[in-house]
Amino acid sequence: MSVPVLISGGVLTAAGTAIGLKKLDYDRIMTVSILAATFFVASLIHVPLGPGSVHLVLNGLLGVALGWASFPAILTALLLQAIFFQYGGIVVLGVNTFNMAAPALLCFYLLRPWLARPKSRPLAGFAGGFLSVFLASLLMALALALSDTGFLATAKIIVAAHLPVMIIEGFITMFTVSFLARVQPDILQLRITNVGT
Amino acid sequence: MISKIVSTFCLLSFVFCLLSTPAQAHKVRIFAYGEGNSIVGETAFSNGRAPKDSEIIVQNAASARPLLTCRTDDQGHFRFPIPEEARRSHLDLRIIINVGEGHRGEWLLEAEEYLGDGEGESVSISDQERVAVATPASKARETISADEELIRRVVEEAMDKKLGPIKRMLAEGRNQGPSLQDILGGIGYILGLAGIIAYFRSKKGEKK
Repeated sequence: MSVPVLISGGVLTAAGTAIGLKKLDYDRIMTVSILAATFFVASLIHVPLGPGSVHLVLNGLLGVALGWASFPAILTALLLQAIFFQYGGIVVLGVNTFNMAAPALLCFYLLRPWLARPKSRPLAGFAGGFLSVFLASLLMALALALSDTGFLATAKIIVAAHLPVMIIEGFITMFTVSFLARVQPDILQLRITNVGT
Repeated sequence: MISKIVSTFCLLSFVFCLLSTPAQAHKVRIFAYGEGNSIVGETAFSNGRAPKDSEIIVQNAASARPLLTCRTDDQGHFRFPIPEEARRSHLDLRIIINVGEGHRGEWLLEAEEYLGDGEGESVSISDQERVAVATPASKARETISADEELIRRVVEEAMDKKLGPIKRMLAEGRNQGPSLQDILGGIGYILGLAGIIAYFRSKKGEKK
């Protein structure tokens, strides 16, 4: 990846993380860390597919549950993956975090109203899982395209490769969200949203 | 209703656990070594699958200038002749596999690792030529040195053949995927960090 892409990724991630930490309530710290751990483990679950295999991302789940706090959560998980498993690497950490956290944040703002209503909740969950991976792969294609190859060709390949992940994550996020809404609505902060803060 | 959702969720997770393999697709393993006049290598995703027909880029390690490219076969193996330029100026080679989507692996092959063989060969050929035109008086000594070279070459070839699998084992051992300890350690780190943040937040709260 080219230097400007790396730098802007780093700056955007730093900004997002700062906002995320600032907005983070004291009571939410454990929720954030549990979801960060989920994200950390999810990328180790591989589904064999075609020539290689794909892994889960679950940034949609983090997004709808955490909002801005997705930034610090994803940054921490990716940092540990980079240190322990040499995934990605420290240099691309900023870009990677932004690529996954920005769609998560967007899903948070787009889907919260639907998520609050029990009727549209499963749909919102599916959309969260699907959209966040879709947007993340588009951002990844963009980052790669700004560095070397053409955007459209790269985007097609990456989006096609992640299409199964999008569908799988759509279902996983849908079930998880429905489950959490019944058992632990606090994690999703549903009541607070209903009140309107 | 809840139990239905819970059981579906459990079932789904179970299915994914079955489907999943404890490996990383994103790390591509590559290693290469010299064999005679060519460099051979193997590539694999960490789950053992082979990246078929993927691009291999060979660079001068010092200047990052590409020397040649080739592609892997169905088993993820590749082979290319030692570039003349690399042989001449003793270049260290950086061999990169690019599977696309920003995922790549690389292997540094130092000049002495692959040149030892090739040089011996060129010396022995020139010796043989010299033997052919040598005067009878010096012939015996020249033949001995030619024989030495020949033996060295044969031994080196045999060693390459025997050591190839060992090199592969070492490369595989070095590139192993995350272990359970790593994963649990990572989770522990995340919870620990949360604890530290919570601690400092709570101190701040007390001051207020």
